[in-house]
Amino acid sequence: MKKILYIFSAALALAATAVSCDLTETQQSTADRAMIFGSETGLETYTNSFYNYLPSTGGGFQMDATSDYGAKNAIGTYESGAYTTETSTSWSWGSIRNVNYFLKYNTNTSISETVRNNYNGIARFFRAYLYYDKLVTYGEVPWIDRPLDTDSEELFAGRDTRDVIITHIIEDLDFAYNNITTSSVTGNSNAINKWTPLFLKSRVCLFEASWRKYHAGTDYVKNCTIKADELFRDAADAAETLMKDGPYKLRTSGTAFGGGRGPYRDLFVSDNTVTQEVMLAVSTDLTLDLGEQNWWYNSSTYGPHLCMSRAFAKTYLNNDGSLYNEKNADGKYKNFVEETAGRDQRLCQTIRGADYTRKNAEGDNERTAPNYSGHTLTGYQFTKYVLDDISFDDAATNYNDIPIFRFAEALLNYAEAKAELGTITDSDWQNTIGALRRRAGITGGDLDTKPTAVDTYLQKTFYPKVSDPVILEIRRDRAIELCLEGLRLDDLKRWNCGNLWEELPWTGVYIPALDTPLDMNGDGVKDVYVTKDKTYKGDYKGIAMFITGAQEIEKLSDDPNGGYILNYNMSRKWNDNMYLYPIPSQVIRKNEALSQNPGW
Amino acid sequence: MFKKIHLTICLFIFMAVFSMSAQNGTNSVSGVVTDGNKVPLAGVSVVVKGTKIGTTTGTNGDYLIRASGKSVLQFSFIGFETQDVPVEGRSKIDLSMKEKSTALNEIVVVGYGTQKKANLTGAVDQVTSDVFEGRPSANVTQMLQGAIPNLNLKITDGKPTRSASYNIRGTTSIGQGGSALVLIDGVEGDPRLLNPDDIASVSVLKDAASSSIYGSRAPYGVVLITTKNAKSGQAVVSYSTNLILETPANQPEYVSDGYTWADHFYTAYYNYNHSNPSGINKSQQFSTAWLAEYKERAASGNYGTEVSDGSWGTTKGRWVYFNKGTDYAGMIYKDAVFAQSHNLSISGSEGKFDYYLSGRFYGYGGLFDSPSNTDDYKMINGRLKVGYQIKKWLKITDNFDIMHDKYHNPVTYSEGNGNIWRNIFDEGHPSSPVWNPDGTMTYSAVYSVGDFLYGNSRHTRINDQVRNTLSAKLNFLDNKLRFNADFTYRDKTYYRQIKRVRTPYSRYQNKVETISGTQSYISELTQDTKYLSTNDYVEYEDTFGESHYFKGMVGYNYEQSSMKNLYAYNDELLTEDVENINLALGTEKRSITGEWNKWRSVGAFSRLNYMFKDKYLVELNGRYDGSSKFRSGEQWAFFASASAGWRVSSEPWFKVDKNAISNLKLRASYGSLGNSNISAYSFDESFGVSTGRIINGTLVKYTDSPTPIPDNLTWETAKTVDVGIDMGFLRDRLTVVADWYDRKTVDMYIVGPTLPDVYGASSPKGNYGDMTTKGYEISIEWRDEFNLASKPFTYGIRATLADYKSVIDKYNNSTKALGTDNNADYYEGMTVGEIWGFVSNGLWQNQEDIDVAEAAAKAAGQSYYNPLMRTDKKYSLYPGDIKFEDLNKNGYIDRGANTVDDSGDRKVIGNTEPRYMYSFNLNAEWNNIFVSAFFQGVGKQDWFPSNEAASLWGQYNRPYAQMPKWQVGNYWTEDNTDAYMPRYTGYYTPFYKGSSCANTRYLQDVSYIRLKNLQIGYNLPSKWISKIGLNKVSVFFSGDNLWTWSPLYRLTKDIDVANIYGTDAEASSTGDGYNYPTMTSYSLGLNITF
Repeated sequence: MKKILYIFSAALALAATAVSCDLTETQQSTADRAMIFGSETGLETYTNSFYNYLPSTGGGFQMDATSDYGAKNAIGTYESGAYTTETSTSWSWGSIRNVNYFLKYNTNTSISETVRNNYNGIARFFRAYLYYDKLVTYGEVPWIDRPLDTDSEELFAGRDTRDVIITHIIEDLDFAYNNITTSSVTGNSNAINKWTPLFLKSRVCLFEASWRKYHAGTDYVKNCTIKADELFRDAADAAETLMKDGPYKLRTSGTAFGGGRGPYRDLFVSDNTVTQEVMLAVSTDLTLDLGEQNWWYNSSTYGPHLCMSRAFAKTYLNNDGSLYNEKNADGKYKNFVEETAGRDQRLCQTIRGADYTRKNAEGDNERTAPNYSGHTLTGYQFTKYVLDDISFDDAATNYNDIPIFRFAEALLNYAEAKAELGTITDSDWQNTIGALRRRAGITGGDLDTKPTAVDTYLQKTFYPKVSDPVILEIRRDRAIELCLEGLRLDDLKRWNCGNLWEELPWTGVYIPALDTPLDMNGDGVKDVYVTKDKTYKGDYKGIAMFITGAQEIEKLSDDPNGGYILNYNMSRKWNDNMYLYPIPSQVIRKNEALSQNPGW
Repeated sequence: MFKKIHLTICLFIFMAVFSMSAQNGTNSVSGVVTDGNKVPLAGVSVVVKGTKIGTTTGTNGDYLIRASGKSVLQFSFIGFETQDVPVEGRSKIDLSMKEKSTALNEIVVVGYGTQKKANLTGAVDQVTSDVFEGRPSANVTQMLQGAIPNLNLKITDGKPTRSASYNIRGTTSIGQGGSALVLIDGVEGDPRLLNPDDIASVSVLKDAASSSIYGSRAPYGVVLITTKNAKSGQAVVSYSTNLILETPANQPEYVSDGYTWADHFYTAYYNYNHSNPSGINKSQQFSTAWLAEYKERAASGNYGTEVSDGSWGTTKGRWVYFNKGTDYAGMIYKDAVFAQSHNLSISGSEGKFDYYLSGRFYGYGGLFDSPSNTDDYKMINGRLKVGYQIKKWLKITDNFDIMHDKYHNPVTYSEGNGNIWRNIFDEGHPSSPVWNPDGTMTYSAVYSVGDFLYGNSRHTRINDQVRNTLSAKLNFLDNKLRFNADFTYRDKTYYRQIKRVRTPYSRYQNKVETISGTQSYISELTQDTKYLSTNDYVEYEDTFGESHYFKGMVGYNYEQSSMKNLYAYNDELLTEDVENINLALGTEKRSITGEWNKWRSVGAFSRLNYMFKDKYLVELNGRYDGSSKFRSGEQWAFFASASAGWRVSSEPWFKVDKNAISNLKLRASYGSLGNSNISAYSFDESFGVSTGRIINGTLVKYTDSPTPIPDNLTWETAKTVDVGIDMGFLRDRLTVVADWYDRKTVDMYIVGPTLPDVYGASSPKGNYGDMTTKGYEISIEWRDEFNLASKPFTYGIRATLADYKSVIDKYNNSTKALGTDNNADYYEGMTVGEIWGFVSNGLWQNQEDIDVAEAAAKAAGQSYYNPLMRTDKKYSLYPGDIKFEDLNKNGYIDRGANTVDDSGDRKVIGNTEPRYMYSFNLNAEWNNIFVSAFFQGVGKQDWFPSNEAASLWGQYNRPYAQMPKWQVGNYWTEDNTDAYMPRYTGYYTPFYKGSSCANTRYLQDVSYIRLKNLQIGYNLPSKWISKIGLNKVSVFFSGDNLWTWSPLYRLTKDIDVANIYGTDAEASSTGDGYNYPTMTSYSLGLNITF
């Protein structure tokens, strides 16, 4: 028995020694904080994560999917007015935390302050970028500038005013401008440099200034004390510095328009970013990451078939700088060939015009009319981001880079801010709108001097409350130049023109006759046979465009030859509370200190 | 097939009856038969050997039989050894029968030792090699399914490689999760890699008390697999084989008529979009003109392929198909797959030396009907176990095994991860043929079945494992004191190669293309896991003063595992036949990544057993455990358990007749165990590196802020109470074992308290959750034998039933918010698995009713009656749409605040967890003929197919999907108002959005019963085989998954009822039922022993 006890004791002792061993194991295939913040490579690797917040290769070309001028066949809940505070969920703060975490821990003194500040500058640029999005979407939001702990007071803070948010955004952008060390153009414009914050500052300040001006007197600006003019000045100053000191300029040379390309269009269909003008781009690449621009703008099944409205197409000037008239001298409506000829070249570089050609399956360039039977709802089919080769149409195969920030916008921002301030000069005009119109092949009209006459069509259809011809003309060119580039809805919001979303008619091309084969682009091939007869099975059944569902066709009473205009009806809805998204109810339930936006 | 088997059985019986010999001169013999305790035995069969004369003993154990003086009486009775007694002229023969080692005497493998079943105090169940013998399945897990109540194995499809995680008694933890610890010969291992024929027994330790000796490695039970030991004596050679034919248990039946399908495509598309499509998804052009032409041609049988002249809305030069019909889903399988297994073992002893040597080959021919690219599977196992008795008190044993398996899995290369079933749904249009007239492949075919017809795209997976366990057993003091030590080293390598090559096809005459955006590439993953462990324990057992039995054990366990892998990808293969990554020329996309992890665990454990007069049984366990998976300061913890048993039937006052109640034992146990079955480094803040955007022509790497980790983390703990009863009736012919348990999993590592969103991360996880799982298992077994035609007929029936239900006791969800999916977010009081959904009692039948509802919704301030689910682009409702009930009577369909208390029009409509899992095992043996049948099933389970379950929803999912045949004529039209399916519409939100729109009308009942295995065999009479020197030869038929019935099958048999869980695990891509089919196997087997 004693022996047994000895043995047991020995065994226990053995077991006890095991207990004393240290069991700590550390991971080798992931890094710890010291590794990331202890080297410049670590800092760069971390800041690379911020680029994920830019529009993606799959989304960068569809950012204007909700815009007054873009007809489409699918309407989301927000767009149809069916949105509620309960359905709303998108209130994400993960990206802001990620930036703040970086700013908190980028303190390792073994790295020089210049280097650390360079990366802090990049981080603060992205924080401003993210907060700008919050400002546009929700208005007043809490300002959070550090990674919160589970017991931080800020968790239960209320919303900060627009003054607080815009001030911090400007601070971040100024810091970024002053501390980012790269001042040259970056490779493919994929990375930001010191000019990028300056550019963003002109955009943000212009937005906030116009918001304050055009929503004056409403609940949207009730806590605002910073004056609109102050912000217009910031916008103009930022743009002016960029124009004066920065390395960017408009791309004016390049293939003349004709083969579907030109200096303007090149910006959107180039394999490599046109870095002369494009300040920031997301790249798509044949082997690394393919885009789907062609697929989305041409598929009969994928995407909402976004197409331009005739109401907007009419705002493009003639190439001599005169206003476009949809009728010929004889009172007849212009057909599609007549309509797209002799216009501001940006029209036929944004949509398929009559002379549009595509590379067909055999590899030959072929005159190609808009695809009435499968894709287009209005007849104005977008081509801005689309490669002119049908072999890219069926899947995600695009390689052309997608511009996100473009120098041309800085010119527009500058002109608009100066015009709103009332200080715009003829020389300002010449360097901005004038330059853009010249590039678009416009030879006359208001190129060197400020416009003086109001285009009543533009005013009546879009901006009835604006009487200043300079502002009206700037808005005309802004919409045309930046068409599909993701700014239109924000512009409508800051101009207090949200109603255009509901009201601008989604009209289509002029249809000379029904139940008749039509050659729309004048190449001798019949392109479409418009019919209300859903059971039509005649000779032209292959190109038949059946007037179905949401499409309507309206007979024109003032066309001597009895033509028709298509109209695409969807249940668009704009309510006055829609200028801001609601704070989701489930968010407020978690923090009762958060107030709700007006009208929700 | 069955007819034939039936005939054979009849023949056997006939022969047996015929062969009975005649009797000679007789007198009568009488006597009394008793058991060892002189208690008379009733019902004992007494037969004059070699004749059909027989009788059974009466209630007093007495019998009277006519038998000649020279004859031999054979006494047999269940639970007792059959005895032959020569009459030798006597007229009275009393006999005391010897009890067989009954169930109660059975030795059960428990943690670090064995125990007599009679002495068990915990909940332990055990099956033996019977479960694995003659089964045609590929691996151990597949054979174990359903064999042990509450050992839950979810085999989700029919791939030969498919295994499952081992779950015991239901939901373990909603935090760190955790499955059962599986030990093979005492060392953690993967049962899938084991030779089924090597297995001697599988023991399942279900309650905490039984498994607590394994401490934190085993909070949710232990499965102990013990391999066969050497047989003592002369070498025994045993060979067994199965020759197997397999076919899919369920073959989906889709509409294959091209025009019918295309017409339904158009209807489904138009009814949602109110516009005409210009293509059938990507691969075929569409226009109404083409459809009209197609209709005419179909009516006249004038099918064919044309080259487009630009009419019919098709591009000039493109192939235009007026196809009779292609059954893409039906063309990919062979009629039958041939598989085979061969197993050879040699076992014996020679003096101090004993050995067991075995080898197995399993080969599976592959299901896919492809000349170049079918799937095939091979598995090879080898084992050598040698023991040497060095001294009387010392024996060393070495147990070495090696395995290799290789699975070749063809994949598609068009979209997604290569899931053939998904690709068929997307692009395998019945309206398109597979081949163009010029012999090129069509666009539809290349997108769907192309890689299977002449492609070369595939996954190859190879596992290699070498394991060696060296152990020593020492015993002293008459074997009262024993030392055991073992040391194991295992090296497991996993290799996966993915190769995908572009397949040519043609859309336009004279133009061959490959799918744009695809690159031919090879990727390789090599993963090496090195594992070592040692178990060392000493035990002492003795009996003091006759009635006090004592056993004590102290031991030590150490385990260490390190894993390293390397992944490489490169593209631009030199040619399509390239097999090595070195011949991939490469683009900027090439990539190399690695992974690494290591963990160690240490445990010191002790167990005490005490028994008083075999009546009162007590067991205490304790273990002090350390694991590297926790941060320092939290690495060590102590866990204890206790169990007790009371053999009521051994009490002197328990006077119930043994013939009635032969055994009655009550058991109870309680234990608390920590959970260290978590992934390593869960508690470290770590910065991973991922691939981000293209910056200046390169895909850059990025890292970002780590998941916030709080400081005060500790172990999850499972506390289990188990109460059990063991009963034997009618001398243990009928035995019942029942256990009820209550397992509280506390401090589950789950999301933290809800934080305002500005926190910017999900609330740091912590030990916040509690859950209770209650359940039971019952197994009832009847074993008996009687004489049929003077030959013993033995038979048995075992029925089991198991159930569990988990309820959340504590969870950080103060508002009781529900998820948007049918699987609600957890909340206090929630039953795990519940499905929240709407109530639907039918379809809208007329516009007037809809108008009334829409008007009411407008009055309630809503734009639509059902704003959640538009069934077309206009948000309108139409006759034939599903009618949801406005449960909260607010005038429209809503989810309220989407909380339990304000759930709008949703309520709990079902539960996804299986309930009442049962099995029946029937077996009988007579005159060398044996039959066994194993049924298994689930008593109650609900399923709401997910949005991507197009194999059920068909074109309601996407208009271009396959159309299940059962839907034809079974959807709502004005003339068919009581159809099951709603009006025919694609993108039909209640289905397309799947489970978030779950509703009662389309909730599926997936309970089932299945004939899992049936065996019928014959042992050749020994007088035949002994002549050629054989000991035993049996031939048999064995079949798996022969028959299944489920309420789901009233609707459709397109999917196997147990194959509803998502997608092919290797080629992942969303969608229920996009899976390798469950297979039905028919096998002929042969066993030879000599």
